[in-house]
Amino acid sequence: MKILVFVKQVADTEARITITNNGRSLEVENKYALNFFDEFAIEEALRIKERLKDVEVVVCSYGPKRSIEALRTAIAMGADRAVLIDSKDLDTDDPLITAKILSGFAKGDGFDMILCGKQAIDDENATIGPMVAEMLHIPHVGLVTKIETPEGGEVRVDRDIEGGRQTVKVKLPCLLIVQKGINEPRVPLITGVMKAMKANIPVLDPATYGIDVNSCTKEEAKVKVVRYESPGGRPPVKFIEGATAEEKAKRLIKVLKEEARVL
Amino acid sequence: MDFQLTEAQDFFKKTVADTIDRLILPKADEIDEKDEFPWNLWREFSRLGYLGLRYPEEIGGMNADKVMCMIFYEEIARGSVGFAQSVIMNILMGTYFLYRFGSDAIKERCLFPAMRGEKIATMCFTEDQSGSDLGATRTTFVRDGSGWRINGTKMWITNGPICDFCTVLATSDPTKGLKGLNFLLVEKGTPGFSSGQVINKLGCRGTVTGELIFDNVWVPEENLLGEELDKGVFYLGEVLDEVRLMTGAMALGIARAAYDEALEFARKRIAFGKPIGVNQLIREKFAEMDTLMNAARLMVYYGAWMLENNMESRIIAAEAKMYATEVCLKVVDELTRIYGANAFAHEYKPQRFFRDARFLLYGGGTHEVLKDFIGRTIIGKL
Amino acid sequence: MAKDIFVFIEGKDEGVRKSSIELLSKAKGITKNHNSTTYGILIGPKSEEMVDTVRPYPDKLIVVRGDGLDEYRWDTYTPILERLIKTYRPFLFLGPSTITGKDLFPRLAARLGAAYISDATGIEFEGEEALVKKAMFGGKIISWMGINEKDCALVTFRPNSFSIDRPSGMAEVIEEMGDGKSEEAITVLETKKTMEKKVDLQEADFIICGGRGMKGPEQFGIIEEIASLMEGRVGASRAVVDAKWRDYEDQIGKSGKTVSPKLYIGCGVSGALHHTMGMDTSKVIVAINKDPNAPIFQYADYGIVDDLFDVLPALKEELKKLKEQAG
Repeated sequence: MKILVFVKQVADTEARITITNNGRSLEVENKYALNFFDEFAIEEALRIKERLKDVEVVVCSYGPKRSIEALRTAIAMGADRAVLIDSKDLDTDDPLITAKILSGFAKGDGFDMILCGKQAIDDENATIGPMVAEMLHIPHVGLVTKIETPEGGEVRVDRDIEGGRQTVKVKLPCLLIVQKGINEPRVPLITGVMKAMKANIPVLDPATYGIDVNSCTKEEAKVKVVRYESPGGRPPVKFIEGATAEEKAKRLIKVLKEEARVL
Repeated sequence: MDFQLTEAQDFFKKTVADTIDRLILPKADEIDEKDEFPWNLWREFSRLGYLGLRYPEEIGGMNADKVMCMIFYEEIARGSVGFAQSVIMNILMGTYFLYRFGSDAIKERCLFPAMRGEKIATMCFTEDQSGSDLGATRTTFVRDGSGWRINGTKMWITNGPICDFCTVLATSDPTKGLKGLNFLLVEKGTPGFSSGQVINKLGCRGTVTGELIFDNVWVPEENLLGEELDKGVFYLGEVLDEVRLMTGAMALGIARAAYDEALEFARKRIAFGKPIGVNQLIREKFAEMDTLMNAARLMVYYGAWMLENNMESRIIAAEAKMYATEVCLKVVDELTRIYGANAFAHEYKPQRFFRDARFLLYGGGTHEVLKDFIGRTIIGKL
Repeated sequence: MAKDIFVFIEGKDEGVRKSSIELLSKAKGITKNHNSTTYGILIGPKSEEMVDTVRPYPDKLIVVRGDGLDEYRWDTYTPILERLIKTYRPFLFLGPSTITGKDLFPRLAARLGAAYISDATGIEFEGEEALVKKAMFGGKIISWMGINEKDCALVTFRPNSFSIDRPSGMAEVIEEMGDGKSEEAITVLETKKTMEKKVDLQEADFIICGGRGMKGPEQFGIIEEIASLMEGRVGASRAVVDAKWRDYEDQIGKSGKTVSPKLYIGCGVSGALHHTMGMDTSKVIVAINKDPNAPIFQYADYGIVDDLFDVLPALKEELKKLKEQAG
């Protein structure tokens, strides 16, 4: 069995992000990490591998060269191999293009199951999973919180739905979108770290898998950022004073009602 | 000239940093507060394999180069110096002489389990009346049948009260000074070997430090670690530079933790209607701290690079230890000024850095002794 | 092309999700300027009451009926929506950025090859061109996205992005039939609803959130009482969820839910970055904390520095009085 995991290297939540070029571009402090939600996907693939033994876990990312580091982390955790599809100057804001490239890779490399994280914490799109599944004509299940060991070409999973939980059975091949709570991602063992340090991670051109690169250019992007803005800061906090807690509570309700008008 | 970490080293640094952030950082305050050896964390951490960091892959180590070792020492100290002290004792001084001179049986019994975290190692140098002045060591050993008999008391022993074995610095003849020094392995359970007073330390809490007593302890022949008698001081020389650089790396780790705390505070803390980071006097502090830390970092990693390339590194190692520690003290001091009165409260982090940093003054030689050594070496015999 | 807009109507329990009504209000404001039509799209209504609730808001309401359509599934809804979009050719299809919206819209966008912007918080027009506002990097950056597409573009919006206008009229209902036959590849084995009747955290107008300062799970009672008094929800910081004082579904922040209620009250929440990333778009933020230096105060509009356990009972009493006055 072969499990593909799609991952993204993203700016760390602590990284400083500056708007430059008159709002047309962003400068991100050089602090990148493997996307928080993707770690759950890698971990889950590894757990399936541990239970089923004969499983290959392949991790793939579409992004700039620096993303190799995120892929090394995946190898350090225990993935069998990793592939970077170099976005070069093709990097666009359109998730449809990323999905096109990743599904092209999936078709070319082959898979029985695809796992990915709920969303990237940089663009916060949460789009790639369903898009890739649609392009590959396979079923997807979102917000998965539990994956049982696949058996007989099927897998049972638990997922969140509006106001509840659902257990579903999905036929392979399928794509599962995992979220926090499904597992606790492992901290890599030093043997994994050593393997990752030495791992040769291929950097491929999107054209390698017969993806029509002309349809993946900036010009072809159907959505693009026109400008960036800083979120409007709030005015400084107004502390509610009072002799007692009761008095403070009373005054708070008054300002919420009369000044902020939210009550 | 190339000052850049290799891609592999860079990846190693980020992975270690992430591991420390996840496993150790969240527990650092608790380790300090409780001042008890964190057994659960020890088991969790040692399972990852880092304790074999500097030993060859054939025996289950990682064969890390010296730069990688420094990266590790720096990062783990950034997490918790208390815990770092115990970990590094197993990695470096507590096991070095076993790795170098131990018989297969000794390696099997002590070294390999220590690399897996199943046994806790330590090294005993310091005594009540001698620290940096190793020539004044009073713990003695004499030939007794097919082995050796050891007598003496050691003080300030990291991991001492909980160790499974220790490498003891002892003299064959106190009148010989440095020329009588030797290393002997003593294992827990050996008659006459016991643990005495546990020191209630100001900082580096969580690592247990204390007294070890050798009362007529007999060990077999093979427990004398060294090819020749009385060559201990030379054997020590093999690892002393790494120990000093390691202390410098730990100082960098604390300095970075303190600096990060200061930076976050300066950006966020509002005084007189603005973040305090807009004030020139605060900015000056960051310019100063960053300059000092860059200089210290260059020294430590330059020393590690020299060591890795088998270059003469005695002076740079002593200088790097001394300088990085002084920089660390300065950065921690600045943090307590930037942070204001809350730095004085146990609730907040600065006081921990403030206490921890001071411990680095002593390990690897006091700065007074180091300066004397550096000056003496430079000027030469007159 | 006419600038018609489709709005996906999402049901909740037996009724209609509030965010669908918000989107209908917004869409109508846009189509009014373009002399075009706002269509509500309601698939598999659970009751006629649902149809009646929605009707006052759009210009026209397309109701798709068919066996098996009463529960959302991407495999049944996607082909229906694809057909409707190809038939009616709207220029925008708006939906809520909810679990359903996030599941359905990207799948549909890929099927149509359509432009798609997710998790938006606003939309404006510069001439003919729509600009969609979206938070990135946990709210550290706002981006305005343009759409380079002549056919229908899809946009999902965070709940509470728009206000609801007073309805004016009664939409013409267009009945359509849909095929509710689902793909064999996915079989639902069991469904457990855990939060029936309760307002969703992401949709709540009022959120009272407990942090580590709450001291323990048993202290959340008073917060629960205030939340239910205000018909809102209880939220929790990561520290609280990690300590297992509250369930993960209550977690607000980077690794939890992103919320923008009208009023957020943080109780004993320190305001760590990963938390504020999930709530700093709230309209009004109140923080109660005994530490005047807690970072949460940098995000708050109003602050009370005092012991939580003195403030909360007083706050509850005041809110109760307010409710009684309102009748």
